Amino acid sequence: MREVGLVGKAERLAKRRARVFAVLAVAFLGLQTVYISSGALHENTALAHFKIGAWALNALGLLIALATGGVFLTGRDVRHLMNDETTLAHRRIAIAWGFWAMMATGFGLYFLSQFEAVTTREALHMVITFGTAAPLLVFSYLERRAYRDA
Amino acid sequence: MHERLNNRLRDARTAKGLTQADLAERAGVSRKTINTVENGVFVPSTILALTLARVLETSVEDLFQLPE
Repeated sequence: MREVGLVGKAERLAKRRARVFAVLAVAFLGLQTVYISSGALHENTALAHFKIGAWALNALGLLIALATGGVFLTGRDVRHLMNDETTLAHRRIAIAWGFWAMMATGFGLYFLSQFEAVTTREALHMVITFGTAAPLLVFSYLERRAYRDA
Repeated sequence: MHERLNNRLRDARTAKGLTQADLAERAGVSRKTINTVENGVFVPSTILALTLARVLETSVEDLFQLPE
């Protein structure tokens, strides 16, 4: 029974992880309106650098969470169950979607740059933002779908 | 190349009186993996297929078949 409890605990945490990843991705995308409206991408002030630094750390944290499974404070057995071969497959698919999201953003910016000047910082910001949020959303969707029809 | 795999994992599992969680625990995977394999959403690795066959005391060929 103890081991079945382990499977149950891993399931509970995996479902929570999927929900949290989706919320974080949406919040991360939503926060971009703050950067755009505040003009932080164009300013050269200490506050603007702080905002950009916070955004970069946020993106980095989300990518590390995606790459590692985002679970550090549980036992090795639970972590193993939460990152079994289905999860690894979902992560691979999600990262592939991240690649295509970055390509689509790149093409979109390239097209846009013919009509409006796009700075390097703006372009990188958009590519990294969509390249971070897209795989998190796809991973979350795949994980939640995997528990359906149980 | 086949991208889908027919399986009778659910039948074999219920014949043994096991829940998805029971089988997951014995195979060392999450219930999500058992669920997706049973539903044909996920094609298991060779190692997992062999493990499931061992746990259910049957053969891999009995559990998984290529579509006709």
